Amino acid sequence: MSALTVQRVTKTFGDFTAVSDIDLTVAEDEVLCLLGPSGCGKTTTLRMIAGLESVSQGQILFGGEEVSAKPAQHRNVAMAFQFYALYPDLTVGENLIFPLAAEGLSKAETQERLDGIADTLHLDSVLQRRPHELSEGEKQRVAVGRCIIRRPNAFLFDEPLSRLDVALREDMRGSIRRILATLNRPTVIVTHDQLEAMTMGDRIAVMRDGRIEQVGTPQDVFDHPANTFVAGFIGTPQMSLLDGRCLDAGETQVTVGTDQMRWTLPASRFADMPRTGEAATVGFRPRAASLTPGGLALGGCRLVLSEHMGAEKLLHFDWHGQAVRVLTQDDAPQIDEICTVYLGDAAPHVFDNNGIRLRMKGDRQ
Amino acid sequence: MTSDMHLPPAFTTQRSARGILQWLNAPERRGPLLVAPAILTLFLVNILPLLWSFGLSFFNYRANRQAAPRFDGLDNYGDLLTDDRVWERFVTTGMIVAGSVGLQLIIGFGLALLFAKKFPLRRILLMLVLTPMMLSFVSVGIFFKLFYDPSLGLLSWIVGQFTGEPFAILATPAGAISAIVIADAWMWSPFVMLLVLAGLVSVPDYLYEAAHVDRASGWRRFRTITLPYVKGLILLALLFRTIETFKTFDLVYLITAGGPGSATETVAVYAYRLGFQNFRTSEASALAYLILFVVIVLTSLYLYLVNRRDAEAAS
Repeated sequence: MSALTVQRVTKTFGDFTAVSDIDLTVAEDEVLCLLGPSGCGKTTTLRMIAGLESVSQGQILFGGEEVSAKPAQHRNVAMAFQFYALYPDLTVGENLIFPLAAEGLSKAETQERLDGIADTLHLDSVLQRRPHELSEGEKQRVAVGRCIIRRPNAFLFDEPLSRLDVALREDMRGSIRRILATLNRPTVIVTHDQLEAMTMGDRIAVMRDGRIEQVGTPQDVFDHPANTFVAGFIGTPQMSLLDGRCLDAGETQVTVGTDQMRWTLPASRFADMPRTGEAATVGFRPRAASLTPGGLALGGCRLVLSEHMGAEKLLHFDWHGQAVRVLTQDDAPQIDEICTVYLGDAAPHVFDNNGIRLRMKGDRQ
Repeated sequence: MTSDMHLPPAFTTQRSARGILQWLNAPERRGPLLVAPAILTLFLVNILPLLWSFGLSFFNYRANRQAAPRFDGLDNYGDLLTDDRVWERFVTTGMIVAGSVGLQLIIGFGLALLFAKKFPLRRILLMLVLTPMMLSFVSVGIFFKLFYDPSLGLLSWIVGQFTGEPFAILATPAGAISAIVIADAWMWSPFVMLLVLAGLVSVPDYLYEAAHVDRASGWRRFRTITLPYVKGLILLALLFRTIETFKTFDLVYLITAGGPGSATETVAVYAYRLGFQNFRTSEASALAYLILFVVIVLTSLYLYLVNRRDAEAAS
């Protein structure tokens, strides 16, 4: 089997461009998660790969073979739908083997695959039931089962876990991850949940407004967000992003700051140097900040909200009109109290005037 | 309280009249009081005649004679059920019902499949297609009578173009029955279409998409997705139209008046003849109750299906 390639694909609906000139490659044993807020074009992209939506420009290839013009029936892709799309009049068993009719398998082989799937997904006890008699979790498993019972060119999952409750979702995330590892087919999962994307994907493609903002491994995207959008979108709690300007980009030192604050970083750490006078954004994760003195200090932070998150508290500060978030296990100060937030030794993320990440030495890209 | 003592006696009677009004106007009596006139009217013009005719069906009575009704027990029913003519009328009715309802289902389903798609002028065409069922029976009846007329009718003229002779479809028993079936199907296919269309548009698109991805053939998509969604509605349409067609009187009476001979005489037309042409009032009443019995059986079936559908929708 072979890789799935999306080449310079654009999709327009009338005047609206849903997907704009995207490139993606999914290797045959790889799981790619399309992640992004609603309306970013991720589902449209998936539907174009499935053949349910035509491609306005560009090509989609399965193992080098162009399939852009082929309808869904002729692409041999398996897809699990967000609303499961179980056939209401068929039993669970009939639903599961429904796609096998097109493969012309023998009865014995069909039964063997059905047994295998029912066993993997713990559906043995409900094979005779009809979809309306199933719980949400069972429906979801049938939808996944109907997908993975096949040996298609690609597996496509549209928001597979979005309709499950939290506990079930965590459980299924693990199961699906294990199953996907055995499939050896290019797999694309659409999700708006970054945790899902981080845990299930080998790589993540972050999308916004029909464009791909960054593609990389979960770790990579988290550690080296390509721009301020990805930085703000990936990671909970959200990264604090402070707008300022590059005050001085010298031979040895780079100074970035605002009227209230300045950061000095050794110039030797930058792979891309900022330019003096241009706007710059500095970002740091709430977990990297604390109220314990040490490292760079942000004075004059007014506490506006304190959220309990179990073992930790998320403190929202107002720092001269910009939001600063701190995740701490310490006791929260009083609301409206003025505090100093310390950034410790952690290196901040620096983005240029277009919001593009300035690469540091040692970045993997 | 002391001021009451000074009131003249006339005032106290007025007070009691007002008391009755007040008593009637109490919240718990206001509702029943307001519907009472309607119930009374309904009872007088609907329920009482119904019960009266039911009573009459056990007597020997002719509405055009002065003689007092004579109690006959179940004789009328016995006579009717052993009368070959009555069974013939039931068979005729059954043939018209089967032909017409079958045709309505086929045409209605086909139209629904057509109108479930989007195409230009769809809304205007839909309105036009729905017109027949909104017309009155009398106008449809007269229209078809003219349409079938051997010397003036369009049908005769069209057939004449090929055969060179006028065509009297109503002259043969089979022709007359098909003429009735065509007229009834023309009028009521849109009704079946409306019901089926409601089922078709309720099918979520993603089911068809899933079937495409699963590489199901057109026939398989129809059988596993479309049919289950409209099955219930088709059954309802079938029963509803069966009940209605079973009672057919207007169209038959206007187009063929039961002829030729008694070839298209439905039970409803036969009951009319018995009651108002032969004035065998009590026998006609008994026949009407036999028809009612059949209709009640079909209606119960209909209601059972409606309830089951609701229960399915709720689950």
